[in-house]
Formats: sequence, C-alpha cells, structure tokens
Amino acid sequence: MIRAMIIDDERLARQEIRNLLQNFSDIEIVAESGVVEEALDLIEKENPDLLLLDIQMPGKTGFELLEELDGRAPEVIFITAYDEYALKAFEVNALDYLMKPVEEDRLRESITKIKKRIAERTENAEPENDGKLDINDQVFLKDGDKCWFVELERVRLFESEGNYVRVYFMDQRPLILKSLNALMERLSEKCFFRASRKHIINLRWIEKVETWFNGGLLVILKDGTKVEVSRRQSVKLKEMMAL
Amino acid sequence: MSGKQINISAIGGIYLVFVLGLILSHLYRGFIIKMSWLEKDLFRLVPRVLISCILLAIGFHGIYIGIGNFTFNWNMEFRWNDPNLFAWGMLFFIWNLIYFAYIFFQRYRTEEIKNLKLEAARNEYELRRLRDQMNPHFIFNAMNTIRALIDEDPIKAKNAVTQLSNVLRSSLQTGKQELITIEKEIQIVRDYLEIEKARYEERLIVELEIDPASMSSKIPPLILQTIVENCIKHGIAKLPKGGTIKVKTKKAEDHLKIDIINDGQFDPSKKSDSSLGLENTRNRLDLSFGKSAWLTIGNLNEFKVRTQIYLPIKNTI
Repeated sequence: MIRAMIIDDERLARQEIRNLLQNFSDIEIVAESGVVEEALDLIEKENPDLLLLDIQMPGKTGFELLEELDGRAPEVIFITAYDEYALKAFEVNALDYLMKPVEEDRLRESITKIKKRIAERTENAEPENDGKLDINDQVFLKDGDKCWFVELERVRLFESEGNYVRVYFMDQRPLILKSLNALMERLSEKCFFRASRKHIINLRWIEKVETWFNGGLLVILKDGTKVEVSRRQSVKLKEMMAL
Repeated sequence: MSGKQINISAIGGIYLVFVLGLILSHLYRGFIIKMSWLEKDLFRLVPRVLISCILLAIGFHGIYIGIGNFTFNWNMEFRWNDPNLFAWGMLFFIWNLIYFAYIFFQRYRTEEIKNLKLEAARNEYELRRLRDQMNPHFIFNAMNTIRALIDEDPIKAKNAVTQLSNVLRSSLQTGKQELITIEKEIQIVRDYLEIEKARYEERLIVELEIDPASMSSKIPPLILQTIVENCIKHGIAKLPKGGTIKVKTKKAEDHLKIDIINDGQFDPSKKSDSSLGLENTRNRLDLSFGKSAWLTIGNLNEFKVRTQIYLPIKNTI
C-alpha cells in the first residue's frame, strides 16, 4: 500500500486527483492540504510515501515546500496546469510531472515508476530505523533554478560554507541554506560522520584513513577528496573503525 | 643625360594614367548616380555602359596624349588604331564590371536583411497577438475545474463550459475591433470571473458596481478583462485566504472612470510580464484616446491595490 498525500490550493483540483486515484487499489490517501504550512506539518506527522504536488500555490510554490522539508523527501509527482517556468524546471531537472487536467494513463505510468522505486528502497532499508536519514533515503535539494532528488547513498561529503552547506554528489555541488549542526541531527550516525566543524562525510565513501598531525586523521574518499578529521573526532573515528 | 629624361617621362606617364583614371572614373561614378543608372534594368544598362566605355577610352586617350605632349614633349599623335585606345576601353569595361557587381551584391544583401527583419517583426506580432488572447494557464485550470465539477455539480459544470466558451469567443472576436461598449466588456469580465469563482470558490469574492449610464461608453476590447485577470493572478491567487475584487464604473459629463480594487500588494520594482501588459494597456489607451486618457496603479493601503482608468468621453450612442 502506498500512502499518498495531495497538496493543491484548489479544493476542486484536489477532488479531481482523489477521483482519479479511486481507480488505484494500492494507493491510500492519508492526507490532503491546500495550505503550504499545514501541508508541512501533515507531512511530518503522516510521513507519506508519495506527494501529488501542485506548483503554484499562494505564499509558496511546490518547490519551496519541498525545500523546507526537514527530513527525507517522499516520492513526488508534480502537477501543474500550464506554467512556463515550471515546465522549464521539469525539463531541466528531469522530474516527474503531470499536466492538468490529468490523464489517467499518464498518472498510471508515473505511479508504476514510483512503485518500483519504493519497492527497491524498502528492500534495501536498514532493519533498525531510528527515524533518521540513512543512505537509502532521498532528499530534495534546490540551488537557484536547479533541483535534485538525491539518494543519500550518492552524497559523499557535506561542507560548511558560512550559513550554507555545500553538498557533494556525482558531479554536482549545490549550496543549500542549512547549518551543518542541524543537518547532523537529521542524519543517521551509522552512515554519516562529523569529521570536523567544517565537514560531514559518508562512511561508505571512505577509501582509506591516514594519520595526520597531532594525533589527527586524514580521510581520503573514493573520489580522491581529502578531509581532515579534528583531534577529538579522530578518537571517535578510531573507536568506530576498531569495531 | 637622355636616360634620366626618359625615366622621368616614363614615371610621369604612369603617374598620369593613375591620376587621370582616378578623376575620370570618379566623375563617371557621379554621372552614373546622377543619371540613376542603378535603377535601370540590364537591357538599358548594358548599351549605355558599352558606349560609356568607348567614350571614356577616347576621352582618356586624348587627354593623356595632350598632357603628355605638353609636359613631357612626347610628340605623340592621336590615332584611331592606337592599341592603347583599346587597352583603356578594356580597363574601363573591367572597372564597370567590378563597380556594378559590387553595387548589386550590396543591394541584394541589404534587401535580404530588410526582408528577414520584416518577417521576424510580423511573426513576433502574430505570436504576441495569439498569446495575449489565450492565457493557457487560465484555460487549463478552467478545464481542470470543470472536470472535477462534472462529478460534483453537473449543472455548475455546464454553466462553466458556457462561460468559458463565451470568454474564448469574445477574445477571438473582439480582438479585431477597435472599441466595444462597457456593457459588452463587463459581460466578458463577468463570465471570466464566474469561471475563476468556480476555481477559487470562497477565496474569490466579486463585487461589481456598474453605473448604468456608463454602459454605452466605449473602450478598447479586453482592457478591463486583462486588468482583472492580473488582479487575480498577482493579488488574490497569492493570498492563502483569498480576497475581494471590486470593479466600479462611474460616468460623468465629459469622462468615464473605472476603478478596480483588489486584495494584495503592488510592487512596482518587480519587473514581470504584467508590467509589460500594463505598458501595453497604456499604449492601447493612447492609440484610441490620445494623451487625455490615463491609467494608474498603486497601493490603496497595506492590503489593497487600486487600478484606475480615466477616459474622456468620445462616443456615446
């Protein structure tokens, strides 16, 4: 069963999606909302697998809503009537989207794709989940006009830059407005390690560890990036590695 | 010493050919332009050019000998079978060939650029006209609303289809007219707002206060509709709780005033497609009424925006 949530500021538009989803026996609508702030709370509470999300809403756009999600990003199907800006964003970022009025066959295609992704994710999921983000979860990142759904597995490094954090994955390195502390609170310590005031590294990406000055360590990641580990954290890392 | 003299006269001869050629070809060019040979077709041009070449060669040869004899004591005679005469003729012919080829090439290019520019301007105008008439965002949202209404309230759905048809038909028909009556324009605005009300439901409240005396006054078509559409797009649609739009017309002796007041805030620093639309609306008012008509937009208070149109009365039936 996929737990879905509908977010659109127009009641009739929500109703229309509801009508369409009636024909999908494996989708359960757990919540709907017409107001961004309320929607954020509901996502936190219900933790849906799938969002059917309108782009243009009063106050905030659908993209901005996703940007404010603190935890893992659900699967998202964007829905818009006709909005040149949004259409460009969809094309540039290869996102799933549907056009209003929504065609049932197109919706079915999108949902089939998403079901496959959700199944893959549950298969790989860590048995004991403490509610924190592990490498099987995906997050939504936005930097200017570009945005990504990224599986944390692909993220090798978070680097603090003032009030921002630079996220390194594949050949991308967007800057997001977040503090490294807030981020670390969200990330599972089984997968991510706070190397210093400036860096969080993905443990799976460690290639080798070398000793460094004053009892510190130097971590070399699989892509060749070198990250210095502070003295205090080095003790911790050594303990973890010893296990 | 005679070697040096021959040298001077030979160099002088070459110099003379250059200067003389330059002066004659320059005068000839002036002549071509003055007689507007460039406008003539090829059949008229070719004989003229050939005759000119012969005359120029004779003239050139005559002057060349005259000056040469006088300055360098060449003691030459003007003979009709002088091979130089033929050489000068050829020279002038080649000059003509190059000159006309250059002119024609140049002209062909500027013509081509002009045509392309004209075509681009025409395409752009056509495109803008189409895009201005049909706002796809509005149409597809309306369609989506109607789809949902078909299940929920079929009668309302039927009405919405009619209203949408009316709006589309009006925008196709009235776009060609220069002026339409306020009565007709208000009807379009009413249909348009009905559809938006079906979409936004309780979030859109409409108040119309139309002075019956203003009904027969005329305005450029879809001016009011465009403004109302922008009030919703940039004002009410951005408010989570929605708001009110109020349209008021008032006719006085010599002018007509239209007020549109909506919830929201106007930010003049924001350059958007609507500021372009506003400029466009102003231009259309200018074209129909001259500088005595005006349009202003500004914040009435912290929550409301007011758009005002002032039109001198031009046509009453």
